[in-house]
Amino acid sequence: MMGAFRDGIVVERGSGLWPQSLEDLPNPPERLFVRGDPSALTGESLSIVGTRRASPYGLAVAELASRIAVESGLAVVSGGALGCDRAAGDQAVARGGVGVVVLGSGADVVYPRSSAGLVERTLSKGGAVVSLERWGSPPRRYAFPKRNRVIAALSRAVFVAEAGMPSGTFSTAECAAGIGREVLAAPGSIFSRESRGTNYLISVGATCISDENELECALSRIYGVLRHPVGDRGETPGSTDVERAVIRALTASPERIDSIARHVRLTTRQCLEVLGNLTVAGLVERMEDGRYAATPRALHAQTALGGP
Amino acid sequence: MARAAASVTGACIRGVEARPVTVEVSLANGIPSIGIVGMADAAVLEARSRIRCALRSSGFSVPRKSITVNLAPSDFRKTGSSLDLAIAVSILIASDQMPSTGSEEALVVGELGLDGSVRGVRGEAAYLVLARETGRFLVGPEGGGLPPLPGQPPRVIDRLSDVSVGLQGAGREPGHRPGPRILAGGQIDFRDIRGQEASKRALAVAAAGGLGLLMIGPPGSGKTMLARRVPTILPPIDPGELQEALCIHSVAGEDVEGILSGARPFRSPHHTISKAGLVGGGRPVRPGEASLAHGGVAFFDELAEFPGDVLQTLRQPLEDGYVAISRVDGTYRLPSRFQFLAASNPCPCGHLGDPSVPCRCSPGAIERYRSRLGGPLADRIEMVLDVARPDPDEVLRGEGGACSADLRDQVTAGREHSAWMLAREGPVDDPRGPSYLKRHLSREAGDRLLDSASSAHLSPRSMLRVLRIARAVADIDRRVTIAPSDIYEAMALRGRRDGL
Repeated sequence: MMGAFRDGIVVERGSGLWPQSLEDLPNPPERLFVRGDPSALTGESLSIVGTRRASPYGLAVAELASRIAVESGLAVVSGGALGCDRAAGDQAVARGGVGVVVLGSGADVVYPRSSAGLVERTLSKGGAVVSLERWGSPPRRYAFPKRNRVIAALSRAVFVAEAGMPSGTFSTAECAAGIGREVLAAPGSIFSRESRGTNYLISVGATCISDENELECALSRIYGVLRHPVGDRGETPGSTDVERAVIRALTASPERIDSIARHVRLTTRQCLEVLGNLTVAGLVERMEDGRYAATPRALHAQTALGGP
Repeated sequence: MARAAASVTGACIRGVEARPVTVEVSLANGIPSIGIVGMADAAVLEARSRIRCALRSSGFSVPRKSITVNLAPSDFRKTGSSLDLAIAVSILIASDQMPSTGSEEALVVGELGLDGSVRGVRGEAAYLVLARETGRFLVGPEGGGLPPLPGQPPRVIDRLSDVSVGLQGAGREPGHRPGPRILAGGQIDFRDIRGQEASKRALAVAAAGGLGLLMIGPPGSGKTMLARRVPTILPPIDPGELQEALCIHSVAGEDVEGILSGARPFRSPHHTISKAGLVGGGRPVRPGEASLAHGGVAFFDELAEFPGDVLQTLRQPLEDGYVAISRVDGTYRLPSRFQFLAASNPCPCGHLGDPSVPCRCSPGAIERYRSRLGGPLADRIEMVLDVARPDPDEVLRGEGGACSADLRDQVTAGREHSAWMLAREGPVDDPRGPSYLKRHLSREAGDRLLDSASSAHLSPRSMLRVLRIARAVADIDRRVTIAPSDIYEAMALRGRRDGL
């Protein structure tokens, strides 16, 4: 496997294809292993990072940011891991944008394996898959902080979709701040463990992205680009008052069935029926721990400029 | 001159039932001895010494003859000490030391002590049932206080000397027993559990439809509390099941007090249990936990810790309602129809989704743990219920919510309606299969099911599960046709994730 990858190239520091942005790092790497189109690395991009254990909210934020970046003509740099990374990468490709996936393993080794689809789609849509590690390297613990530095350096700004405390996402954000990149973060519920990191980043000076417009403004300020908005004004989805009330109750943070029933004043049975109905409609989903949350689709439908 | 031959009917346990054994004795001139033939195991052969001593201490004499004892039918292995009394009685009749009156209608069961006392043996209920079925009266020691079955009342003998008047009228009537003790501390009830209304509803639906249910939640969230209360919402046990449960418990030497007081069994085997411990086995074959739960609830706590091959053995009882164990001397059939409940932590550390303690497991570890849960029983678990520790505020101040009696009404209605429908339909190939379930599905509900299948990526097996849950929901409301709202509730109650 080593060095045998057919479409891979090695970009040496100082060559014409070398992304100059990496020179801002204290100890810039000497070479990059690249699959796909290396010019994707030199264009303007937004790095989107976030927790692997993302809530539906975090996934929706990552997707939203990715979509706006693509509509603003930026490439989307992500880490190819579970959760926010993958949501951002998938959304970029789905929106016809250019994706850059920076892996912690060799660029020809897909880890986690479930990211194989993302890697394939990114390559087929003119993006690039990059690594500091040699061809065929398995994922190693020490490789990931090094990878995070590359994610931070490649773009002019790093957007943190959702991050717990402590989190690997922090090393990316710290590195980005250290080399003068702008850190953007979306606030979350103060009750959500997965939002503590992002809320902390905002409190120590990250740019707070509290809605879609704000992200758009931040991007036009940083990159000097304008976005071509699409879609129309959204409202709370759901066909009845009760359904809308349930979705509103779930928008801030996920809840258990019993608390939803209490909050919306439904009997347990009615509540189960409404939740079943909304699940079928794709507006709420059951989380790993059994709580219900509004799906990214339901959340997107509530943003000012309409869903994806 | 002695009559030199006699026969008496005894019995011994095979599996969970008592088998009649004809004990024939023949006395002949020769070297004094007692020989036993007819596939007797070591415990039966040891009876010779016990009988010799017991006869002497009770004032009888041991005939100075060559005594041959035959146990018929001779094609199955006789085990245990339950034949002691029958052998002793036939020797007494053969040697004219007691009259043979009543020996035709008696079923003689008991173990002898060296001092001539008669001791109890395991499986009293099974012997009583056999006596009733063969139209005999049981002669044996005072038992565990089972209620009298219809038929001839048993005779209780405390000492071997009580039979000297003949089996008819030997000993005394069984002592009068007060009704079963009411368990101290009162009955447990779902009213004790607060802030878990969705869980109660899910358990009621599972019990009404006989659906397998897996609870997932952090330690202390009340999974075991919920499971323990499931027997309280099942309808009263019917006489047939009661008799089977009594036999199983009595053969296994377990306490029958609870069952006699009308409580359905609740068994919670530990995850270190062996295959034989779970479904029965050993030599002689004894019932396992799956049979002891017959008519009640079997609760598998920490399901992920049970070895896969042990759980695999549960497939037969879950599908057929009995366990079949094949041995050289034939197949043993142990009744085993129970409500399947299981519980598990949500992740290896147990705290995923716990608001107060953070979970330390990696997503990969959680995935691996989850994949062990479904395993061999994935298609026998229809519902997955997430249990979370309720709000303390709710526990202290909240209302009691649904109590066991309310839920029992739902379960009883569901089971009755389902039985009524099956009776009305005539022969149904598989009442849990798709062709029957689809027969009473409204067109709109069918469309909703298809919508759900495409939006939630349901496999055909998952769709079947949704249908089974929806059928149970409709049965609880005594409705023949499954409505769209039933499908929605079933989708929420299904609570299933990928890979499970």
